[in-house]
Amino acid sequence: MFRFWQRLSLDAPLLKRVLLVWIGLELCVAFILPSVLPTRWYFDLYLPDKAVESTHKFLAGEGYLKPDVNVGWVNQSNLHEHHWQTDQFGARTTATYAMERNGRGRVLFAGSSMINGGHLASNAETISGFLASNELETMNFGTMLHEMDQVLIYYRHYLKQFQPDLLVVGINPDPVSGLKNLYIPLRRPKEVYMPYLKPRFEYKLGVLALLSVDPQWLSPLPNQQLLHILGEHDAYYGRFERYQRTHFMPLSRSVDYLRKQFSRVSKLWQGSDENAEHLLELLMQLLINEAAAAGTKVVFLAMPDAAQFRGGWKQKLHDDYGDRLARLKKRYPVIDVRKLFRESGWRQKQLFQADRVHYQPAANELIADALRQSDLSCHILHSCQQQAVRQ
Amino acid sequence: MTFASKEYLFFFVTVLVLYWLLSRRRQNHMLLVASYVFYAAWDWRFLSLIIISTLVDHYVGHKICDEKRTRIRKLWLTSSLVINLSILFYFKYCNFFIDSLQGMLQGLGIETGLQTLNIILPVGISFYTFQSLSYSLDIYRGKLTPHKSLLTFATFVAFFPQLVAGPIVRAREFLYQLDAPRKFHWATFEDGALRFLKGLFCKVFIADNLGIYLVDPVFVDTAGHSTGMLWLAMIGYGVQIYADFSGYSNMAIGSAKMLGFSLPENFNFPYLATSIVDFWRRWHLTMSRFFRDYVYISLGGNQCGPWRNFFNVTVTTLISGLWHGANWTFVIWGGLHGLLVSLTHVWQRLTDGSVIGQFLTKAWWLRWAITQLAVMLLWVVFRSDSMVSAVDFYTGLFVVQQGAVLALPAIVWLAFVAFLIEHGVGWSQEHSSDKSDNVSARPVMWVRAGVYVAMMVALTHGMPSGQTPFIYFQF
Repeated sequence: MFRFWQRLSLDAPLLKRVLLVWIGLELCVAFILPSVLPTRWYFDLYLPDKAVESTHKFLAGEGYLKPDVNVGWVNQSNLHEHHWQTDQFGARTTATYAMERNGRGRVLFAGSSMINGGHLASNAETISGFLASNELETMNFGTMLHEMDQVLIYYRHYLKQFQPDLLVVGINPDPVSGLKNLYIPLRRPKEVYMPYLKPRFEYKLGVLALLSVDPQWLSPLPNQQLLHILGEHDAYYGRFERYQRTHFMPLSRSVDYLRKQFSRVSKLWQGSDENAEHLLELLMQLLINEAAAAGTKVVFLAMPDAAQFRGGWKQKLHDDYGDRLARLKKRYPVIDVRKLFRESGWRQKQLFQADRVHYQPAANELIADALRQSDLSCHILHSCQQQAVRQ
Repeated sequence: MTFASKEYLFFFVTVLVLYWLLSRRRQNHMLLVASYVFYAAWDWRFLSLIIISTLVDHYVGHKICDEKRTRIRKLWLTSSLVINLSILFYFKYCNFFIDSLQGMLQGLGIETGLQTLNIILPVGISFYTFQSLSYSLDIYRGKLTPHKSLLTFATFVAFFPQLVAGPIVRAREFLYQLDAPRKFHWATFEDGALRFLKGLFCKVFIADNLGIYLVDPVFVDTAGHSTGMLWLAMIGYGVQIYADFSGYSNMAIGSAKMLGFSLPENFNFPYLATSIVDFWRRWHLTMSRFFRDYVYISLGGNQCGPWRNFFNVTVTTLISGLWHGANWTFVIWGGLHGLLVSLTHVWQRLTDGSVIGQFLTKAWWLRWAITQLAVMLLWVVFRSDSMVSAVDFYTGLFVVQQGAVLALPAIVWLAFVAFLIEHGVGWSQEHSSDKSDNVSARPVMWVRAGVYVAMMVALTHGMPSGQTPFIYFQF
């Protein structure tokens, strides 16, 4: 090494100096500056301008979603934007329903935008839309980026009041990562349109504790209190700390890039996060118990994304969808949507939208038919099947 | 795979490491394979064109050399010219001529029913065709003897650092380098690596940011922008095309240096030129050299009367304009440059020794301002899709129009500043009274090292998302 350095000093003195300045600066930026500069400055840089703008709009109640002290965010009520229409409760429906029951069957849907149907599908083209009939009221409370913890809280605080016969809950392609997250940009930095705070449950020493959040903590952005809470309770805060060390200089950034690629590949040989999987099961169990106490049955839809649907070598190495489903199916009423899709013989483009996550109307219809025919939903949907009028 | 991509970095580092582990003979073989892989990454189907060009010129080269009869030698050279230029014509100019013919006949009221062909333009075809042709031409002129090894010749034609956008290297300045033994030197490696970094910075930080945020939006909607924005976009394009092409050339020269080869310089601070003639001594030097040696001098050069010289200059610049692309805008751009070069010669003759001549000799800043104004104005034709849009742009420049004023991000101004610093360094080098080598003084070296690191940091943060192709790849 010494000889190499000596050679470099003699033959390439400028290159040697470039290397010295570069490495010195890398070390300084990675290890000294984060302890000297205020974390707030880094956070200012971490959040894209668009995310700050989205936060302001969100807190002002503009857009598709509005702040909620319990759930973090819920659908805007009475919204009519292109295909997207919500009623006075923030649900996507094909007819107007009151909160009180009127003798007809009632099915509620909860989960993320995969259940909701997204912007490209009209209300009638969602899973709930395909099930709606004169005899059956279907209300779709699917909300963008909602996780299982939020579904449980949503049910407790709001959905319970609708006294549904059946609650259909979507399980996201990755239903565990979000359970450890409080602030969306820490887990998904590119999600500039939804830089929101969500509540989460922490399971420690056999106790399940709820960490509530108030969307107003996002104002002003950033603030020290918010950063402190995130540092304490968000499992993804480490990403922001790594950002402070590695984002600004080329070498550390490249090393971090390689580390990410490596960890992505190595995940294929690793088992799943058992604590998070256990938390997911606990939340599902709680939801079933609380719903059963109110006379509501719960059915889960295990919803794959295009990569999980297609399979391939990655799935052969580590089929997280299949492993999770096998475990959940033993204890909970879960419908395997991937199996349904594969048995349909349809191609990926017929089932998935261009983002490779959300479903095409035809796929939603397929799921609706499966729900109708499933024993898991008992008589609730069977009895209505005769009169189902589908568009 | 462009130079400014992760793929190229991976490809080049792999080639570099393996290359220096091999013997010289194997090094050449490896370069040939790497070059073909590099080109195939664009479109493997067009590899056949490079191979045809290589085989034809290698064979013709030997035939010309072996043949004593001038007529037969000429015949062999013509066959090489016909084959190479036919390929170039078909892929690059066929549709242009069909379009132009159709337009002309329609103007005369004749319906032709001619249809353009569905042809993809192979990347860098103008560059490697000319390079390969220069071999046959030099052998014909007796300046070069044919190379025995087909593999070495193929490596020269396909050498990946300069394959797709030059510098256009002549066989006589490169083939001997392929034959010579190579040894790794840190000094050469340093020069190459830092040269590559400078090129990458010019391309990505200066050219791409100017293109995305300033030039493209204004040129797409000329009528919708204010006169001030049009002037800024015109200057922006002048800087963009220089940073883009000189950036590519520097990356090519840098890559070649790291492999132990020396490629000719392609730019010499063109925006310091104080006349159009001076501009062409600084801009795309290898192309200017090619056209000077093989077209202008073949036509008689300046060893004839002023009118004939005027004709020679105009024809050469028209061809060089057409070389840039199959569009009348390029032809007119070339023609106007030719006209200005000729007018400069005439003006110099007329004012030589006069008061005006003496004044202009002293007033370099006035010559510089006039030259740069002309160069920038001519870039408008070069950048425009058609003459109609060029005329619209000129109208917007000289007839004050209201319109949008873009809110330019800070990075655009930083790109301008970086360009000014780069040309400022060039200016100080040219005008420094102290010609001693003070760049190697210790404090200066530390400053230079700091500048290179600043470039790396700027590249880390100032890289627009997505890959922007090099402008000269289309030529």
